[in-house]
Amino acid sequence: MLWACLYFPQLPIDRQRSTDNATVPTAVIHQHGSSRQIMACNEMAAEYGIQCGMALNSAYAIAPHLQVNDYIEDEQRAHIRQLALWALRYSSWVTPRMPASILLEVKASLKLFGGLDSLLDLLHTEAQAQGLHMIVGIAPTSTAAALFAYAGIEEPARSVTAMQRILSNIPVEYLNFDEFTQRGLRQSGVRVLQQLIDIPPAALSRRFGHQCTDLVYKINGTLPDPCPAFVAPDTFSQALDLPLEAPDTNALTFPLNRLLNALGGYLRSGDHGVKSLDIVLYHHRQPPSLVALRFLSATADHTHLLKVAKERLANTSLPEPVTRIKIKATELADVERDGKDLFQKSQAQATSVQHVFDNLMARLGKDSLYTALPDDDHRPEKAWLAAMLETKQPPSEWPARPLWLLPEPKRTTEDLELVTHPERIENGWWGKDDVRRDYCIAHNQQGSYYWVFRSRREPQALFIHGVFA
Amino acid sequence: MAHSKPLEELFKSHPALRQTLWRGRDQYNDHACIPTGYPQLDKALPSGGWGIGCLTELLLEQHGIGEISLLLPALQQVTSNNQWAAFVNPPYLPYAPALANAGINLERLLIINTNSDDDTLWAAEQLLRAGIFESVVGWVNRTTAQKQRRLQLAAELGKTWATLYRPANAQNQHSPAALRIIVSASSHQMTLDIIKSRGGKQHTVHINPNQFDRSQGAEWPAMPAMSTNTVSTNKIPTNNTPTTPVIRAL
Repeated sequence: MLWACLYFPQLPIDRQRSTDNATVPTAVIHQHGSSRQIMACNEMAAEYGIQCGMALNSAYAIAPHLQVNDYIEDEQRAHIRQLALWALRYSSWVTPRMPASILLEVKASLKLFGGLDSLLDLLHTEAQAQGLHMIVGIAPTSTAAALFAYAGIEEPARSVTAMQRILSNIPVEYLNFDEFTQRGLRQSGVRVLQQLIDIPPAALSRRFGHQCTDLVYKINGTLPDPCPAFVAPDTFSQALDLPLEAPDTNALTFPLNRLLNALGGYLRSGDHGVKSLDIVLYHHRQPPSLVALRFLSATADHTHLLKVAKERLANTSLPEPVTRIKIKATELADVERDGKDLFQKSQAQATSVQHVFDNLMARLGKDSLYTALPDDDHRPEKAWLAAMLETKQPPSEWPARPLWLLPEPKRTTEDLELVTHPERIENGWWGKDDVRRDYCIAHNQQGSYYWVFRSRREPQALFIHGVFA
Repeated sequence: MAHSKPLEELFKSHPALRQTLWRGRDQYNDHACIPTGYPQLDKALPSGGWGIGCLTELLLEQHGIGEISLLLPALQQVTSNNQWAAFVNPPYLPYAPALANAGINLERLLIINTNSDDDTLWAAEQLLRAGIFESVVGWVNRTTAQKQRRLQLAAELGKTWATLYRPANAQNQHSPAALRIIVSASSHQMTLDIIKSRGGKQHTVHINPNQFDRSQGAEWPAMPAMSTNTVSTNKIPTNNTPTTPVIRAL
């Protein structure tokens, strides 16, 4: 087994970001004993000299205009869950671990993603696109991988020997011990992990308690470190509170990207595709606005989802700034994986046709795209159907018909020359759309050809119903 | 294309010269094309048909003079090969029975309705850029040279045959389209004035409606065998007796 630990040291602050570049020093604080401490801060605040662990009052002394948010554990848990959904794209075995890390079993994914290096590249690129700081530790045991990530060691340990070599120099401060044990270790002169490992287990247990021995065993893999696999829920509905109100839809792209990343991983893990998706935008006073996206066929491609959503949102006007955004997959369907088959080219063409259609529908509206099909009815306005890539009708022979049909017949007083005998079309007497007309082809002085008719109800009037283009 | 005679004769006597002599139109002659279906028009176009990767502008004085019939043979060829074609913002409803009569595979003809010229140009550009459509036909009223250039570049990128219908009064505006044709109708024939043709020259082509009338039914327009009854609008003899008794619902 090979474990990757994705550690997000700045998660509380990263999640507060609404855009790529921050302009105000921001920090997240938590209650530590009796004082309030900085838990995470953005680059802007770091430039002022604010560090993690600093007391809030000291931070205010350095940067009086520091913006401060409280750390909320439930939110952090929700964030970690969203990230776990995103990580499902890369591994089927994902374990979210509070407060800020996710464990992935990557051995089984290496072949699919073309080796460890390209997998790591992919993870880093996507994390960066979501505006997340991420440290990845790789080791054959999950405990060691987590330890590497906390210690900031990004060198991957592919084998047990490499792991032991790297482990030996890790300071014991990074081990998750209580204050008392840490002090005991310091006082005994134990500085790095190798010194701890060198102590005989019996002596170690006697001096520092069995948790210390357990940890050494867990790092080596002698003692199991249970990592329950994260199971994606049956439905997908995730929300994100925006740190700053988004005044227009452009500002929504960044948070939307995060949610869609989570959706992409969720879809991938269940081999689903999404056919319709609701984006709910919450406002302060106004009722939430709903933007529904429909896809021609189920898709799990997160870049495509984002592109369509952006196109759609660009055409949406907001009644009020947005405070919270939620996406909900309303219709899931099985998606066909693009396998490597002989006919891949034709399949690739079919998917991109759908991508283009989705894109067009997002901007122009769902009903603006169709293919016309002839229908079995003699009434001209009923003799065609708008369909979308569905029905297949046998071709039928029609007498002379114009290429253009007017949506409504238009009364004309123009001097027209009739060039054919009338053709009687009579149908629909049982309903409202009773049609009794004599159709002729006619042309005017300028040489335009029209399809005209006289109705039984108004024998004197001439109507244009089509244009022979 | 009308070749200059002496040059052609020289080529015949010295075949090697054909490769060595550079002629301006050669750089466009190797363009792939879709035959128009009208021999005289194919001859007049530098690539021998509707150019793939080129924007063609058709400038219209009025509708109903056979302007779509002009494209039908090529569209029929495109769609029957299961390639996609698209109508963006057609001025009227494209009528399925007529299109089916013309042999168009309707499942491969996408019709897109838009609300503005900007949307039309945007949609056309998306389709052209995607490169999966073989033919894109659009209708616009107002556009600018910059927007036309975008379309021309998108057509080149996607290697698509792009056609744009514009009103005839746009003929004096500058346009980067590779081919510009004024389509007009005169007594029982259609006149195509090629006012701009990249790699070709200005030309006028006449097409007899008999050449394309089959596409919309055998009777259109006036066939010589057909008896033409010329009547004015308000004196048309009405045939009031229905051929079959009809029960009328009240």
